[in-house]
Amino acid sequence: MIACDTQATEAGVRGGMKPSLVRSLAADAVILQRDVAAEAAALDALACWAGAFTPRVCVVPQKGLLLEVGSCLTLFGGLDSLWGKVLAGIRAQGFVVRSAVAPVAQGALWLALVRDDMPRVDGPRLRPALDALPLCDLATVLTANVVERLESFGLQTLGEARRQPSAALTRRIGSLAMTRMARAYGELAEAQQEFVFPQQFVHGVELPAPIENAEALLFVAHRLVQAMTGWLGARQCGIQECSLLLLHHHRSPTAVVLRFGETQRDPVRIEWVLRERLQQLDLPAPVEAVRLEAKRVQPLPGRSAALLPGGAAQHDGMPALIERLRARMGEANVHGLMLEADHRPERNGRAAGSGKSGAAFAHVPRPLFLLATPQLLGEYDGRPQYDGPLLLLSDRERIESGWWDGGERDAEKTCSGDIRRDYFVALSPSQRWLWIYRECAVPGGWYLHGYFS
Amino acid sequence: MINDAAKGAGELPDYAELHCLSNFSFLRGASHAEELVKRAAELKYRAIAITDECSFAGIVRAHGAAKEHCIKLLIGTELSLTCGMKLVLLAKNRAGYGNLSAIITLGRQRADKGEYQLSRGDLANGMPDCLALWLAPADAQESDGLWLHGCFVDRAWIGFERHLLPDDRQRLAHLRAIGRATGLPLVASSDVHMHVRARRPLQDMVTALRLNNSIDQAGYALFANGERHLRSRLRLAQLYPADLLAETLRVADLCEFSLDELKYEYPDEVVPHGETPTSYLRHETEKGLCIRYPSGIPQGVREQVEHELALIRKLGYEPYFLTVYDIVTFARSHNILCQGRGSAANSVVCYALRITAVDPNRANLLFGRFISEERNEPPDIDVDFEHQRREEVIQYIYQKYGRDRAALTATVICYRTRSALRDTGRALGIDRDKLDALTSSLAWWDKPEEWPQRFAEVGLDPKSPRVTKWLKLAQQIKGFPRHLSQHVGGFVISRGRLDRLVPIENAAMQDRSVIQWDKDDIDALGLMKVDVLALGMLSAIRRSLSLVSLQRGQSFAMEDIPPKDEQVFAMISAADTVGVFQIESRAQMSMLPRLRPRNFYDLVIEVALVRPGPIQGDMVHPYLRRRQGLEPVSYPTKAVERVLERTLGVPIFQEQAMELSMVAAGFTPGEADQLRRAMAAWKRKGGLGPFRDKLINGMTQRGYDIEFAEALYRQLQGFADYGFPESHAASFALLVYVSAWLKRHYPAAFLTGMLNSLPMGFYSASQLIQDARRHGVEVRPVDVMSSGWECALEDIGSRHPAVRLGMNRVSGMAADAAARIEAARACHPFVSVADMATRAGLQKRELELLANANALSSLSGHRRAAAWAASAVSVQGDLLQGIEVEESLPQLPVPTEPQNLMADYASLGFTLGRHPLHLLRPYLEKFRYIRAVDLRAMATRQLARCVGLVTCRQRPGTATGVIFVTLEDETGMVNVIVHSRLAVHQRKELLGSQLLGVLGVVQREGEVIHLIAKRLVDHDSLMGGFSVQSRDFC
Repeated sequence: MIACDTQATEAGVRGGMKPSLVRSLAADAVILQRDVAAEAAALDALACWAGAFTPRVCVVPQKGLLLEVGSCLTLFGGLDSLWGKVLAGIRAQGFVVRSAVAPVAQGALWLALVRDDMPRVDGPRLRPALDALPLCDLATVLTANVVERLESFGLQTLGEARRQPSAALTRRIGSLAMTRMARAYGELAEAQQEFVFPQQFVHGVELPAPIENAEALLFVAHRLVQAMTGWLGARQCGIQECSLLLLHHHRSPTAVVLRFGETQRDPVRIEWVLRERLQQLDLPAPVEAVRLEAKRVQPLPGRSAALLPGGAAQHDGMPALIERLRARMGEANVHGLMLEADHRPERNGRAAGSGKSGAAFAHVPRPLFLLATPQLLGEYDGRPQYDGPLLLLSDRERIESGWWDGGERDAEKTCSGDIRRDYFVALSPSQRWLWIYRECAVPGGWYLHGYFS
Repeated sequence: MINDAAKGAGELPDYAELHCLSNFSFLRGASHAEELVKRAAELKYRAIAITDECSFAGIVRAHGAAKEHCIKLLIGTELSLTCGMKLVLLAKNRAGYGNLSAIITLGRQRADKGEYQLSRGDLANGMPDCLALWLAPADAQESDGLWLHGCFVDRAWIGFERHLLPDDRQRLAHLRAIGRATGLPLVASSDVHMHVRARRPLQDMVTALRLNNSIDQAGYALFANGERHLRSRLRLAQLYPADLLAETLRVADLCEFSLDELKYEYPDEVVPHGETPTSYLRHETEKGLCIRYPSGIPQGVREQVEHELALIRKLGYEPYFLTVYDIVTFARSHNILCQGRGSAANSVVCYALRITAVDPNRANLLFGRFISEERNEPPDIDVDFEHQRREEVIQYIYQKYGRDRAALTATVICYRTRSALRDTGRALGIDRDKLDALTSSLAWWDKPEEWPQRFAEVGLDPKSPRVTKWLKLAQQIKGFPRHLSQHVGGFVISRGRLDRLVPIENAAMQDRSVIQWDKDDIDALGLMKVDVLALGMLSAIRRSLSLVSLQRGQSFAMEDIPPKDEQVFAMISAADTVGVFQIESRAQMSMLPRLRPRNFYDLVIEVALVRPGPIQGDMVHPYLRRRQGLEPVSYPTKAVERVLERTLGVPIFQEQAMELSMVAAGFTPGEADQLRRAMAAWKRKGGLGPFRDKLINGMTQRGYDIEFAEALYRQLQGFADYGFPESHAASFALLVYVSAWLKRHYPAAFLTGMLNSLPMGFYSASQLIQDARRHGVEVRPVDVMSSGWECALEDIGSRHPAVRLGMNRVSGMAADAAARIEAARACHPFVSVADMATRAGLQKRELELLANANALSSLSGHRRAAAWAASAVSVQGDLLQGIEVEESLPQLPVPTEPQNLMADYASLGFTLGRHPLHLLRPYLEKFRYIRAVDLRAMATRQLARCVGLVTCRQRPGTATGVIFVTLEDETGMVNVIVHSRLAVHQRKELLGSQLLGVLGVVQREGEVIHLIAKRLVDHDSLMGGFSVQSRDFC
């Protein structure tokens, strides 16, 4: 257990508990796996977003963000106004935030990590504020070993530790910890690794649970748009195009491409367009992750003639052909073949987006054209009929598979269930090569399933 | 051409299945070996081969089933060579069987657990007396066939397996061509994975589990159809050409081997040159008897010895007794305490050979079940050794007999309800969270009527197809073997090479090897097994005894303990048994004052009456009622009286159940033994059901009335849950008596022995120390100026020596550092922490551990000053070593009592200072809590409030849902009973609190006092940062 919400806390759940204990305390609690990579990505996205306020941002991995705001106070009408905007912006993206404002970056970080009352301290009040911090809460910045050792001396606050003779203390906890303390107090200049705003903006979010409602995606997209506009702000740029990719399970992603008549950086405007598009969108499958990519990034003030409508770069070859085909025949009527590893013929080849390759064909004869629904054949004298009696050319091939998905799953996935069939290659009197089968289960019956020619 | 036309049923060709996998080809086969054999017999196959992949693990079961169903069983194995070639090898005769066993051993021992590795080179000797089936692929190469033909001259076939795939016809034509070119004949086989087609879903399931995949992602790894089952001969006649079917019979006829031919031979080096096993056993027994009975051997004992020796000779068991004797003698010569138990152990011969220490005279035991001739049952002796030194014994056995002659028995780890539900659920794509929620408790499993509710709670519909399939598959896979693990200590030792008798594979543990058969398999084939087990109490007793020897100034052993000590029985009757072997649990301690044991045999009964673990709720055992005179003791007949007299008419031991079934229901000794096995394996197998009618009919026919018969059956049934053999109980009872005697008369030595043997038993160091201090033992703290690694006695000369705690109590401390401290201190005492660190070569970490444990106080004052001093010491190898640095003095706060207490618990797990509750008492009094000692003065139904540290939560294995909680305060322990309704209602307080307040009602019966909880209060907030560990057995 790393963190839990207030409901869980009320049920008695605490950090460090085992999942089994959590479950016995709060049977209906939902337990999620921690995802460090996702945390890091969220922090990076926030750093991009913070670019809207200050060009000097610093990511402290696994801990938080440092913003240098002293130089831009006047731009935002003073600290109160600026800080209010920063906190509100973070909360609007769905995060819970702890913060501190102090004249020393590390000092502010330490205060923010320990205190949950959003302290803001000026010069002379930094020292007493830091002195009062309990050592046991500082393991993340001082390392657990150092804290444990200081506590073994009976010391409980940072101030008490600092009161010990410095040379003697250095021998005991090492110079690194001493340096860290000195930096927090502003006694040593700090060397922060400033956040470098990326050259390209591509940010994604994995959803905790698949979303089926396009409207609900807006909330997630909001964070990404905020991050993107922050990033654009820091670079003094805007976009003319961005794309939101919706990723599905076992399906090619759905792309929502937004094009703007003029270079944009206004999150409200971008989100407005996005809302329009998402509302029209018919989601083919639940969305498991989304990714926002800024395209055609331009310096905001200037405009380039090359980007005027109609001057778009020419696409060549296959993709262009497919685009044109789709435009003429409709999206639904142009698709590639995707092979799925499944013994059941109807599950084996399924329509999929173009350019997607699946499992290889099993080494068996299979017709290229399968009927969507097998066609019942007449039977005469024990022989199946199709334009007259059929001649069975092959030995039977028995296929029995699929018991696991019989009788459920949502309608959008074709659900074939358990099949038990004997397949044959047959020749009709009209010289057509057919793929037919006989049901193994009573009452049997012959069916046509596909054409070889 | 494949013959697809039906033939008349009358002329169905015979068939022998030559390639068949059971579920011992883990996660491939989907049927038990017994099911396969039975089904093959039903289909009237001529023979069936069990050919698990590089394994013989299933053949003993198959052999039993084949005998039962009268079908010929072939023994073989399927092997995939590193070159990709796949073969089935079958044993023609005993020599071939040995060769197969050896090649499996070779392949297994080369690879990690669960894998094997064999190449063509390993078969180059031609595998004499084995037959080979080449499972040729569709693109089989002629060169491979030529190699095989060259290797197995006239003993190799090409197996053609038809599973209704599109290329069947081409494959057959291709294989025929290769057969002609190479001279290898073709034979039909079916690659059977299941006994009936209906197992197809389960077979797909195990495939998915093997690939660690979900079922709908497994794709082409699944078989295309369910043809890999035992097909009817009619179907086979339609599928295979007649000549291929006929060839199966020729192959089967060439195999003449049966497992009945395996002759186990005892190792012979246990007998010195010039002696026979018989003469040597007699010689050693006589020698032992003279020592055991220095004043002459009593007449009864003499007669018993003669009887036993005659029986042993008749059955040829001398080498078994001598093997155990050899192991025990080794242990004794290395001062490792051990004790035997089991049916054969409680004999005068074993007493004379010092395998056991239970004097048959004193124990009033009936040696009825010594070894029975009629049952042809191999003798059974388990030997317990000190738990920390058992490895020495195991290595001795490996050394003496060699790894090719001695190996551990396997334990087959099977799917249980929980793992079955989890694995199948995962493969079916049931959410992990839902699975966790459902399988965290399985109380619902046995109550299908509760399923809808339980499933609804997690959001599953129990009637949905997916859930129905899930439950059905879980039910089917339950009991399937998952892997072979090592038995806790069962050794099989043979005269010749063991790997020609049974394959040996690597165990997960380094330097251990296990055979592919488990205990039941070994029993069925009459192999000798010696159980080398570990028992913590023996370590504690050995340590305590050597301290007692020091105290008394002369060697003092278990045998020297006076047999009938009134004070010991008085202590046991008062339930003053913290730390005593077996009778220390809550359930046992509440039983003792009612039972009031007065002699050794009472202890034997006590041990069997309440087994550790599940007890029967609030049930008062009928034996107890009779003993307290609350219920009359009566017997329906003289015969029954003889059997049940010693336990007041209530059957308590397995031996009694067997005797009763013979005396009252007319069972033969063999049937009685089956009954015993059914009881022993109650949980694993079907229980007593099959014996019910036979028992009851047998008794009514013999004139017992039906009520008595029914009542007796019910007793046997209830008792099968926890039934215990008298022969084991007697050995355990001796350890009970010995440990109780030590606790009563040498409490300091006993505490020391216990502390040095931890972790073991029911109680923590804290509880043992508190109990000892309540009995007046002085316990001195860990101190680098006096302590060694182990706890030790100080002032040994005096009447009451003190216990000096050792550095082994300091959590995280290493034994070798402690040894260096002792050595350096022996030169001359330390003058400072720096001096100690330098001379003992200590690391900073070790110094800190000692400082936190307050073990440096004689060198540098309170623990914080010590920590300060310790953390600056330059360690060995440091450039600045030995250079004293002038330092300004720190301003360290002196620790308060609560702070010291907290540090003590963190570092040692206990405190020698005042109990934490003592410090909290002023606050607690505001809540009107009383102390444990005050509770003892209260009467039944009085209201009382108690509070204490939760030291133990225990849920007895009954459905009533009662939870026992033990609270500890500064005066002792309070036993709390929480009923299920309250447990559900106040779950958070019950499971989450370390300092728990209980408002409840007193229930007392004699000396036994329980507090029945009505309300629970969590007082953790009073504890600050203090933390204790409860020992939970829920």
